[in-house]
Amino acid sequence: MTLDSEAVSASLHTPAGFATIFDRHFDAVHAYLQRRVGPDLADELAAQTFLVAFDKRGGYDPAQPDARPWLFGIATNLLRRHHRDEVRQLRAYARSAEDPVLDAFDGVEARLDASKMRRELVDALANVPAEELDALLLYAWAELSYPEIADALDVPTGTVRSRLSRARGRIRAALGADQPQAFGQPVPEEGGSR
Amino acid sequence: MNEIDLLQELRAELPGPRAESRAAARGALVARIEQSQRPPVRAAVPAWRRSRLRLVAALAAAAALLVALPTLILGGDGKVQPGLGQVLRTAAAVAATQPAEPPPGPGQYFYTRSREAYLTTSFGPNPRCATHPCDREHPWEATRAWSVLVPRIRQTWIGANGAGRARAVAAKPEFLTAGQRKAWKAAGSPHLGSGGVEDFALSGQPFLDTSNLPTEPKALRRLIEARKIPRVDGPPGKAETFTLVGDMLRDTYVPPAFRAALYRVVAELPKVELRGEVKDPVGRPGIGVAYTKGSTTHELIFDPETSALLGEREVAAHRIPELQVPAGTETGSVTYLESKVVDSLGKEAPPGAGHLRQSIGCYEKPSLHASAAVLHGPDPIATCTKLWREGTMGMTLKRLEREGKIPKRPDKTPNLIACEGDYPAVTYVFPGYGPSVCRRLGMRPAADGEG
Repeated sequence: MTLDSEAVSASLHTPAGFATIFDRHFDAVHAYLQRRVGPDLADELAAQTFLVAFDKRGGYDPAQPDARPWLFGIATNLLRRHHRDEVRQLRAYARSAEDPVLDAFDGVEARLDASKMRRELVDALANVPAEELDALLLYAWAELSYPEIADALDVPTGTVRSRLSRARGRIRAALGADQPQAFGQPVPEEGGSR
Repeated sequence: MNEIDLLQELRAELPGPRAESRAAARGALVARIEQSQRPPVRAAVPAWRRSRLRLVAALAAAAALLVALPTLILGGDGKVQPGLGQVLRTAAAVAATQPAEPPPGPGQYFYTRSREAYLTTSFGPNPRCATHPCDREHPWEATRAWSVLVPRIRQTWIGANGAGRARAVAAKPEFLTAGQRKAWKAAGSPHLGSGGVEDFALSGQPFLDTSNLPTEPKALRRLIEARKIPRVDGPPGKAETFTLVGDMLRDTYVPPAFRAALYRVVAELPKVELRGEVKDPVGRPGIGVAYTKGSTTHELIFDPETSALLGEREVAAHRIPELQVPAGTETGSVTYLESKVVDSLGKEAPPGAGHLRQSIGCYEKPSLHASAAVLHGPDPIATCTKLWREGTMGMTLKRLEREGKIPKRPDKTPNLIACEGDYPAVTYVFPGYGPSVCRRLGMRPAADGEG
């Protein structure tokens, strides 16, 4: 199997090869987008992500064997325009205990999730600034590493570390006093409370 | 259990993409790939593209005003370089003393003439790769690029109703280096667009209305950063804010106090850099201020004597290997040569120039982010209904119907609502019921707008 970087490079001469990148990563990119903004918008943004990626393939860093950080970076940029909608959906969820994202699926019961902690969590997420939210969800949902998030967002790793730390601090603060860590305290890379 | 574990449980078991969605996305990609294979492949248009679209609209070009004021900034042979803040505050003070050019009255047009040049980079196969192994680590070496600036002289005429004419004549292409000219020749000298003339009617290019905007720099900056000014809109980010301020500075008809506030906003933006005395793209001296983001530096050049914007350029901040251009290469520029109010649309204006043309946006969903088709015509509801009947619109509704979210309809056309927003002569048509659809989107129902 070729590396993503080889597939992207090869696609500069034989563009049709770029479809390999699609086949490898479409589902992961779609899943991430869908988890953030629901299936309808995810369909649109995931398709756009690969069109943008194809157009920008000349700028792909060939030293980067895995294309996921690059693709998630493009997807994150596209999501930015919908940040307000995302926040609105989170607030609606926190208020009504009914997740508009789950609600958009056929067959998935719009589970009423009255757990207080879940609602507080969602409410806290709605209050995390966009830049921190991107870092946080690329970590928790896309499961990228710090350096990969740094690549995706085009910021230094230290910035990722501080954004994540702030975002986690905000959430802990919102979840209440039973969480011992102080707001904004640095967290270990592997996660876990100290 | 920590907050990351909690987060990972949230929306954890959503189904994967539907096969149709994946197929549609793959189909779109394959179409794009096929489209790209017509040689030579044009690639990597610099980031200028978006502002270039706006320049087609070029509402106003700040030409050197005739009012001469004493040089305030770099007095005489003064060697002392003042700080950025001081330079821009001085520019603001000058701007505040300048007369605004009036917007056009009835039967008049705001005329601008500008020169623009954008770097176009194209790729052809590198002949060397037929006989040598080409480097996989540097894919661009397998292709031979040529970068060429194609200057255009652009003229615009815009009437008070936002309708007018735009004409652009392409001049002789300028290759960056002799080597790049050779690469172009080796690829069979594909046409570069020189001598081409574009001349078309413009519609829906209204003037920036500053009457409700603050001239207090902090308040103005907040509005710009929140993208709350109608039509002064763009993606988030500080570089974009710098671009948007540049866009507004072009508009010479806005009140002097507002222009002054714009300079004060630039002075307060972080990371803006003073370039000092520079020449604009046609060689006129001015003061440059710049903002660098990623590989591109965007520079605004203004006349210290009048505070008018002379020009703008984008420069490669470092070597861009895939474009095969070194650091410092100008990747795009616009120079504002002339602006005045005139009484006619010039010679041989294309048909329809100066007349408002009704545009219709047919949206798939009641959201401005939804897919839309843009057409021209007199009857918005009838025009969009036709698209729905033909099946061009309504992919999403069809799905909702299939999934039982909405009742099945014998006729696939939903009820349509026409709304009006910030742009004159544009009608937005959404599926939905009642005027609340428009209000929810910050618009008002169009007269006669229920289908």
